[in-house]
Amino acid sequence: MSSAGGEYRHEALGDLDSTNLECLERARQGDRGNLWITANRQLKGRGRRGRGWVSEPGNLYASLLLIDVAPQEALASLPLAVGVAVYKAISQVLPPGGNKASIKWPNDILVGGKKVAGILLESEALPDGTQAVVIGCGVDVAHAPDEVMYPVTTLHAAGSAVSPDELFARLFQAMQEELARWDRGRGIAAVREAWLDAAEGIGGPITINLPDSTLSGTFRNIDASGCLVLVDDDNNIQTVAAGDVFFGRP
Amino acid sequence: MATRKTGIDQDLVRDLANILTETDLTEIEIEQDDLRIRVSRAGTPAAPATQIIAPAPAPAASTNAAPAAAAVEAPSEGGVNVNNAVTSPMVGTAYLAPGPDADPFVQIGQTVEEGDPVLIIEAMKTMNQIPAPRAGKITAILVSDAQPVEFGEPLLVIE
Repeated sequence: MSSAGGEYRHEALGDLDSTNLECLERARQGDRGNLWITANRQLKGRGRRGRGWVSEPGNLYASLLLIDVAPQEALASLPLAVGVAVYKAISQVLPPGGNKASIKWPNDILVGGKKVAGILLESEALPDGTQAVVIGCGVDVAHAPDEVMYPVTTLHAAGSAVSPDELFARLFQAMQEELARWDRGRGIAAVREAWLDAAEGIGGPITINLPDSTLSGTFRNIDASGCLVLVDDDNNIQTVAAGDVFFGRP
Repeated sequence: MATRKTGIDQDLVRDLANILTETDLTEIEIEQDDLRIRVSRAGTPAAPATQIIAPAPAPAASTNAAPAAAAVEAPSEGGVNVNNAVTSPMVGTAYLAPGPDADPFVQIGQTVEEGDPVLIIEAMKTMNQIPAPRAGKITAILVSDAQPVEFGEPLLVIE
């Protein structure tokens, strides 16, 4: 069954291995989607490529399960809409006059240039022929992980007194709005504009670590499908679909 | 074409390919008189694998210049029926296992059911699990772990 148009539900749970995994399990058991799962603590939080994600109580761990949310070719732009939603929720709880939030391609959220939230989407074909997409959001409200990849901070360190529950209420609302604007991929142009307005580092030097190489150049923008567009030192345009972004030169 | 073929300095191309590997660059382009040569790695997401741009067609040279692209080119010539290949539904990075330390989804010789996960393509920080489109036996795996792939690129073969 498609999750388009349905009401969003929320289940708040205690300790979980991973909110993404819980959503995928629910999908395999036939859940109809539009289901948010939050956990007080994750025991096996998952980052990109199986990287551990420190999951102490006090942070927000939330995953949204969607079923048949869009045709495969339109799914590429979903991570941008998700990034805008998390960016909006976080921006709303930051104190005025303090450090601002921004989006690091494709959808890490920075505050004052330091990472405060990560998003990991996972898609899986289900036995009944439908497709599950899980949107996992981890926001460091009170605790920052010992991440070696990138400088990190927390919302509390940025001067916000928000609790994980309050932040989730904002995220629930913002995600609903952004998914409506994204409109199964038909609203990508508007989402892309919102994303570019919030993006970190456009027009500046950028380095991208790929699995087997590194690209450096100027961060031009993102293309219609959300891929990062970089102009290298020889004025060649490179388009990147997956990689770790760093601002500046290596 | 024979004269044009021998006119291309194969050692030069080979040297460029070696420099590419040694320096971890993704692409080198040089121009000498009216000949322009670009060597790029299969790893570069947006660019084709190994490409030689010359004033006249030079089919033999591209074969000789292809060490960096061998992983992509070889399977289609090695007797594998790529008509039965599962192709990539998107541009991204292919992963053969659910995590860096995990066992691969499938191995050559293994039998899979329709819908079994066979690999993951990452694009835009989305991990897309690719299901087997039909039941059968895995006879070839055409990509290596963490290899960038193009839309439509053959990933593995199910006979």
